[in-house]
Amino acid sequence: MERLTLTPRDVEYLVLEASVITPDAVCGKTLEEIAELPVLEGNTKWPLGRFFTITGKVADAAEDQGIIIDGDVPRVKYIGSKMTAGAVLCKGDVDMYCGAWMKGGRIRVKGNADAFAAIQMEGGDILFEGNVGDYCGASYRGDWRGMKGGNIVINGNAGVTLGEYMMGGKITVKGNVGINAGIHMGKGIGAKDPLPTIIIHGDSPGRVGAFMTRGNIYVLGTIEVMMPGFSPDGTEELEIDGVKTTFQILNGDHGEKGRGKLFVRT
Amino acid sequence: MSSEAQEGQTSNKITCTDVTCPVCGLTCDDIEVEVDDVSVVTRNACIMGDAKFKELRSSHRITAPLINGKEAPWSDAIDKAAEIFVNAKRPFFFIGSETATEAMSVGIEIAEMLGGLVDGNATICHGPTVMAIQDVGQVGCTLGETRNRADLDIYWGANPEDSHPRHLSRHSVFQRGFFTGQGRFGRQIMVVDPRRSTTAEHADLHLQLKPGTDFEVLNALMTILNGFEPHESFTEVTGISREDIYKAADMIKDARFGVIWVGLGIASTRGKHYNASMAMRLTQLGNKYGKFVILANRGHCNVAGFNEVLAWQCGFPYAVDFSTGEPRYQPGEYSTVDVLRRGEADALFCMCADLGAHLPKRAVERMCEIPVVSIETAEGPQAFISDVVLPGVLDGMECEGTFYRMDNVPCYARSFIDPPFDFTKSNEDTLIQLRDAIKRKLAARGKTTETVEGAAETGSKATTLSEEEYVQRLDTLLSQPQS
Amino acid sequence: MEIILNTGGTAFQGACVKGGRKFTDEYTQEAAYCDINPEDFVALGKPWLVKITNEYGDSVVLQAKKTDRQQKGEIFIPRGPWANIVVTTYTESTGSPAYKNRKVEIEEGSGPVLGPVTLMKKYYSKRTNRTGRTPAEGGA
Repeated sequence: MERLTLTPRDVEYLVLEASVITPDAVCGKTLEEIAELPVLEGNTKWPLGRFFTITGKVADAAEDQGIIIDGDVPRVKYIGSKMTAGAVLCKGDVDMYCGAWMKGGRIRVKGNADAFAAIQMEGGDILFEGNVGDYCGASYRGDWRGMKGGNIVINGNAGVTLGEYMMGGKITVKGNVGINAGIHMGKGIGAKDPLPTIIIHGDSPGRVGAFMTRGNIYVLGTIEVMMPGFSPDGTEELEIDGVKTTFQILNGDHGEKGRGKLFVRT
Repeated sequence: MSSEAQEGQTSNKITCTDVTCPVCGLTCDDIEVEVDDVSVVTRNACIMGDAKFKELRSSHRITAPLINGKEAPWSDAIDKAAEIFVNAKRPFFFIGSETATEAMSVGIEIAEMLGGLVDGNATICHGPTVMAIQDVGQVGCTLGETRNRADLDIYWGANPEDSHPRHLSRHSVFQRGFFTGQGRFGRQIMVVDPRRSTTAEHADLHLQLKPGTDFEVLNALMTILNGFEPHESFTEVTGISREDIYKAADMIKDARFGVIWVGLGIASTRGKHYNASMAMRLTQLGNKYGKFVILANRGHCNVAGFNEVLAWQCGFPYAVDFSTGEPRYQPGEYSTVDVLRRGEADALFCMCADLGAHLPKRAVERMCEIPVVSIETAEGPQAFISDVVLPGVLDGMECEGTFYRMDNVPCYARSFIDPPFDFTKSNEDTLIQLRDAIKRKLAARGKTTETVEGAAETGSKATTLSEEEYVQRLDTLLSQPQS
Repeated sequence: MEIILNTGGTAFQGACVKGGRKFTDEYTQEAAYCDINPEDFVALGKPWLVKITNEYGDSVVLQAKKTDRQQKGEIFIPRGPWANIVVTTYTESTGSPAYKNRKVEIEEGSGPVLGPVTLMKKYYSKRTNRTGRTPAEGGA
């Protein structure tokens, strides 16, 4: 895999929309052409080279292209959005929409990510080593079809409304989550489709699986406030990430006549 | 609606009937106003409406433009404001309420022209409720129907006694309508509020829940209506006894025409739009038993109008970004508080809203760092932090315009008096003058922008440079002034 | 003492704002107070003034008002610049800040309740040289 390194330069900006930082956009181009790719700072268009020093090698195809962002970019949006193949590694923080609408490839963020990360993801793998903001793996605003596939792993904590309208794929959170994890989960999927899964290793303040109609949510920590629309339905011993745990099974959300399953460690 | 102006004989006394009140979402249209040279007397208006009409003859009205706190000529103020926005990379336009939709429309046009962001009062008010309408859909009606038909009024997180003082007497609890001739005695009132508010004193059932548990209470009601038992932790979590929640469910089942009035109690609390979503789902479920509707108690006059205007101009109700040339909608990213908190905006236009008083401290601090232009009628926190203050015209009194009532019914408000200055006729006029000034500046600047773009284009064709040379060339290019 | 803060409009505060009396003492009287449940009021030591501090350390001093309209463990501050010192900007990515249902610290306060002009000057002082008209501040 060829590596292209973007090092943030000491230039001040308000916020950047850099949907060009994807293997698909850079592959097959020269370094000069990459430096001329447009990024938006509000209503002003700038070349990418104004904000990043670009070094390394470019591959011909997106699958062989790796992009390394060598620093913190907490105000650069759309990194790795809509990518279909290849890999992106960010060594610091990223802003909103990291890996949004992603169809394939891999993203790894060593710092924190802001809101709307990996929304409406369809495939690929994302690893967030820090925390992520709100609406991770959710649907785009107003859409009732959320994440369709792929795998998200969050080593830190996740914000509110994780996996909203989730239709497929898997989200694993090693830390805690905010409210509304798995809200509206399973809406828009048929009876034969594979079920979406959320695994939460930490705690949740509540509203887990609200409006949920299908899918599985596993909570290994505690849920502070249980949704009134869930009713207990026995216990089961399951293996999660190689560890056997006994779960209480809850069915719901009865407010929506849902058939989702919520597994809470007893 | 008829309006009559009579010239008095002794002084310049004007008497007007059926005046539309430009204060809260109810847009009452039965106000009588008497204005002479020194005083204003109103009839039928509530305490807030009266206060606003008294503005016609107040001592603290801003009647001259201010630049950095000093009075300045009108043309200078417009020029300075235009200069600020032409130079901005991410100008933010906050279109407040209590102004006519015609003015809002021009404000949105300017934002689109400059590739800025536009947002309205809904963002800190009922924005989440608007998002919930997009999420699950609203069963609504007009205030006339609630007045004439409703036999169950549920105030959820709303306190109209304070926010809409004439709500209870004109449109709900006490009003004797066509099918509700018994007034209060023919209606059931339920209030859901963690405070024992003055509205709660009228209630047959007051669910005094723990703050932030609206979502759970709504979900429990839906669970009961669907024939299931709420989870055992319900009472402990929400502070509401099982007896009360079943009583509430029975009231919903027994109603012939139920109305849920949602207030900021569900929109501003934890969970935001999902609380309103759940309330709207409950309304849909309530329609199994009788007619059930849900209405938002919109706080300000014409705050609903902004959502309407923006929706028919670009398809989205609020929090819109035009920076790519096409409208994009994302509350949480393009909404006022988030844009200011993240430090994205570099110039702010605030029209007919006191953001200085009503935004959280950290957001106002950002406003202190960037140039701010405001249209204001009176001194206050917003005028305090503004670089340029353009005097505001009182819509519905000094100029005519359209207001949307809180049930999204447009009402046309007439004027009955002239503004105390002659440089602008209305806020719409002010904005048109600002728009034209910006257009002139953009046109003058158009040539220089083209040359810079041209240089970049020719540069990109030369691909034989080494990386070092390239970076050097780029540096020289970028060190030139942006314009 | 940790307590839950709710803010919201009142008719009298509304009248003040709509009437353009935002830089008057009346605004201070109508918006710079804090409703406290009688039990919490006693627990705080029947204070005249209370100091509210949010999670970022921003704090504001307000008049304490005992009322049985509040549940235990909750306080209410009318909408306005005083309440907004302690309201946080976290919006759950929906645009609507935490006006209601936010945990804050409450304790007996000292020092004056600031009038609107002094408050603006104190908290948003970066721009005092670039202000709008600022009339002389009356006693609060």
